Amino acid sequence: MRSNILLGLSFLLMVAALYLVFIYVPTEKEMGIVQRIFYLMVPMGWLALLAFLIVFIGSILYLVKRESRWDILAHSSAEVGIVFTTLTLIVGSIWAKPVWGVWWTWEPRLTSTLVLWLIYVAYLMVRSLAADESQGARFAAVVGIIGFIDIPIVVLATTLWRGMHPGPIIFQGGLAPSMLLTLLVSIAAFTTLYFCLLGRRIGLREAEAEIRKMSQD
Amino acid sequence: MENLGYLFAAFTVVWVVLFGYILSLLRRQRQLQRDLDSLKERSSARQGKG
Repeated sequence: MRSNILLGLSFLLMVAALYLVFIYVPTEKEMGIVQRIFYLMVPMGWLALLAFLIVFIGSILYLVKRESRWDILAHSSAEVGIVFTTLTLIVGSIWAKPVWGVWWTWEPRLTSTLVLWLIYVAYLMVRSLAADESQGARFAAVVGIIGFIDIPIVVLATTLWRGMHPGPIIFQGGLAPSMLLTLLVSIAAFTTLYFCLLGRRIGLREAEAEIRKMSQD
Repeated sequence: MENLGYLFAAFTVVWVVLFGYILSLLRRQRQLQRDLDSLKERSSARQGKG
């Protein structure tokens, strides 16, 4: 019931976001129409960070309490986070081509985001390569905690090093009110979608655990 | 309308990947439900014999 409400809210916010992105918000002068990718790119990047923050918290709680629900939360969030990080890299590349003239450049923000993606792919691989499930969960939790070191590097990459990627204009008041509204609605839409996907993924992990328990009995 | 193709590509990629992921979750859910049903059937058959 609760997940259906969240799914409905996500759908409504998504429709509102599409209206704002394609009809309401004015076209930016410098980049033109392609700047609208910004309203996709920022939510994708934000969700990659949120998902891995939840992996970090879930991993710490799992190692401290050894309760499988925290491992299930971390694992589920890592999988959904990888989907959003993959999209961040692809959409970023599509945006880079018309603006910078290249699909990819070894620029600090892009490179640290690629490293982030590789860390959490390793997180999933460690789990599947471990001898048993609890060992996999423990090893993955360690990767989930250590891997979180890359998050501040991704966030601060544009201020610490001079790259091609623009600085943090959102928090410095560099956005017109209409653009800020569009961005916030888009972030809200994708964030509710993230929680829908996370809830579904957690449900699957719990069902898997139940089946495993039943087949052992 | 310059670069419209890039904008279209970005939105298409996002929706195709997200729908693909949602479909994969639904497929896994169906598979788990089938496994659960067959386990329950086997368990009730065993109880019937016992």
